[in-house]
Amino acid sequence: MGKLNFRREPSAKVLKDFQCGIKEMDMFIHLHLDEFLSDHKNQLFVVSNEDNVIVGMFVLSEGYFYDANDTFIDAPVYGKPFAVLDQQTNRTKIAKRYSTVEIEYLAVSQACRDQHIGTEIILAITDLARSQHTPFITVDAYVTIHYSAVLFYEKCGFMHLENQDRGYDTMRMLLNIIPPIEK
Amino acid sequence: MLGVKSRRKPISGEFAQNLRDQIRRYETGQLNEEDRKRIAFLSQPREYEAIWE
Repeated sequence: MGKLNFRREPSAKVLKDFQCGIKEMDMFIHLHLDEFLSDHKNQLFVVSNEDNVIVGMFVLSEGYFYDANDTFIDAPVYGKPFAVLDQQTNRTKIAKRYSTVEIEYLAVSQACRDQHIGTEIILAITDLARSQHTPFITVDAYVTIHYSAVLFYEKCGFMHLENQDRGYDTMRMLLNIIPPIEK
Repeated sequence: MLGVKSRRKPISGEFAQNLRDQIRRYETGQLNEEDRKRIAFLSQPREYEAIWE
């Protein structure tokens, strides 16, 4: 069994030679990721193999879901609501809250494709989320006419939270990791 | 909505219902085939040993 090392990094400088092969993503990593990490809620992790070669990266943050009965309200951690407006009665009510681990970015080295590194990263993130007693993992999956990450996340068990044809370059998706009651 | 500062739209309609149904199935143990596949995927044997440094 091979080994993958997961390490938190304070800066994107370690990724200077990293290429995932998706032009927009590589540009973001090399030009703008450090700025994104200046918000301390966004945490960069790098994944390296036994030869200490970086094979993948991901950025996590925190979010919450509020079940307001008629809708789920999906908010980043800094938008902590204490109450929501009931759209039917137009009255304020308290909603049921679920925390999420948000995958802000995830990329695998172009040289390491088809080695199931992405799947292993998702499984590692589920381990991390479980250790924090977080029931959901959420992601805005990148989707353009040239590339789509939606199929990858579907294979990992993520469900769609919106229609694909709404004209944005991402698709909101969620993975439920609540420990199920087996009957 | 009050107190919510999010660029994201609320999840509504069939998507909210699907999510709520899935949570209910997990909490009651009334799992469907898709749930079982998802759970099997998440508990599959690992190809790599993950080491957190």
